[in-house]
Amino acid sequence: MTRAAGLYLALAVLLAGVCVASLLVGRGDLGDADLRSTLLELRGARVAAAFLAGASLSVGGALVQGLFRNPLASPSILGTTAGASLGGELALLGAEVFGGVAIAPELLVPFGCLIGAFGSLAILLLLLRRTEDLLVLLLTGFILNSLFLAIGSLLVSIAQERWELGRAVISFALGSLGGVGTPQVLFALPLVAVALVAGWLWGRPLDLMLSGEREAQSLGVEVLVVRWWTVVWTSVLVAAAVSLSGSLAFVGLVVPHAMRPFAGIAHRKLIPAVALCGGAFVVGCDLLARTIPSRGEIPLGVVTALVGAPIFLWLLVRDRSLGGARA
Amino acid sequence: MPDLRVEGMSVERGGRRVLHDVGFVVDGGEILGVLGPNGAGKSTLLDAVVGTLGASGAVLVDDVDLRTLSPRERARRIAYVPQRSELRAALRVEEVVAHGRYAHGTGGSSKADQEAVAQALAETELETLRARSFVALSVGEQQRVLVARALCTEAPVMLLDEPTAALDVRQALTTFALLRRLADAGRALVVVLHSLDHARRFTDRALLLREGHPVRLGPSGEVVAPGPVREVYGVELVEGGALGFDLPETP
Repeated sequence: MTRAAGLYLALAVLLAGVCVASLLVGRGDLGDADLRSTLLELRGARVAAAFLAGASLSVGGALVQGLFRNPLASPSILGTTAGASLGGELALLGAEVFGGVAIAPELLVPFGCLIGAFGSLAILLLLLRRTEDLLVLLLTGFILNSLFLAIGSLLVSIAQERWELGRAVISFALGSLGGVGTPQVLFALPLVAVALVAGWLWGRPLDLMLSGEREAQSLGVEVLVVRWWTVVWTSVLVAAAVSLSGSLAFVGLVVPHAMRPFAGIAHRKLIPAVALCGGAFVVGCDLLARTIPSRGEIPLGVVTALVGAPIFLWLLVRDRSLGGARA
Repeated sequence: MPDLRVEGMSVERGGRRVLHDVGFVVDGGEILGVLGPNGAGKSTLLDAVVGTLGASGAVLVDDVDLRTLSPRERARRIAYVPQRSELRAALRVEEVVAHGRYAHGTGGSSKADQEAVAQALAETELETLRARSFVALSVGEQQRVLVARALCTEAPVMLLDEPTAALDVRQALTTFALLRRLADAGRALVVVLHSLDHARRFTDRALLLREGHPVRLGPSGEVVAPGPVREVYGVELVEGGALGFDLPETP
């Protein structure tokens, strides 16, 4: 068995373990025959959503870290995360203010996220047509991120005027899998599947771009095409993740970083490991969010940050003390 | 023998022309040195020829115009070795060398890819370093890895930007010995050099640039001569005035 295959197997076992634990543990008694199938269905949808969100954000992180040749990049750097969040918040508000809409209520927020993310992506791509400077892409992402977060904060403050709406918007903004069910999972699944495969396929030219765009170009890479598609597939992944769970901090940053010492730098080996580990990480964090004793459920985004930040700090200190260069 | 033909190469940057109508031919088996003071346009010329910089003019390899080719097809005909790589990721040497196979679109793990990587590592005497991290190597070793990566493209033409700039005397001589072996194997080499001494000793012909204009093109001994050197650099060439070094004879 190759080292990579061994790693994937270990991660698959880890993922299976947290998934089983997540199915078995939680509020409600599985011993009750009347409730068992309903509980398992609800928890199953939640586990699937957590896996998809974690895998999406983690692979999105690996892609943008490769694109910008910066291990500190996270998917939110493109502004599409904030765009998707804003879209979701607008959908919540719009439904409250304007009432009935043509689509199923449970898919309202996912559609809003998709529209928000793709709106943000459209602005980025329009800019990419006008400039070849990667720094402009970075700065535009930063500006869009700040702008959408500011508008999102404004919406949160507006939503406070109605108690239930305010709670829903804040819960979404903090990241949660509380209301997720099978329809949302089925909505996001094709997006995640296509974008994960596409991201993996673009892994090889991204490897070459670690040497800088000029060197990559001289080796036969169509740099602008790779950049364009990397931005597109990262945005699709982010849109799908936010549509399921809202914003989850640190996942896209910490998981690729944690996996590189084991899976290596090459993206085609790294991406499957990152997807499995990211999925397991968010399923595990969601289990914590559901089971830590508190008055209500702790927001998932808070748990991913509370767990992810110390891990990231530890990885950073370990890397520096080893003097290792990682991309 | 393959040849490289550059015709009427001009480059504009910020509305200012920085390279003026440069043309030359390099035959397979030949090393052409590109010389000139700082800012003469040597590296710009290389970027323009390899296609990473927009330029007017034509670049033909074996009479095929590179502008008509896809990036991968172009990379299979002309390879580029930068002075230093921007790679800061801890990729293994063999992984970096395998990047040269991207031009062949075979995924990097086919039998042909593995053979090409092994051959490139052997030609550059890097077999013992193949599992080492690229960023942990010395500058000279990194330089050889970049040459091996270029070899992996199987391009008959190779452009090298100041390959000995950061090397000590032994590493520089080893690099020139490697370049001569590559030329002897039939490749056409274009090498940007700062050292006029190196240019005269290790290249067959030389192109002398000044402020983007071609000043002289001919046998290295005639280009690195008192007249052209005085005209371009404003210094007097002193024959036999420099120290000379050679690699020891191998038993």
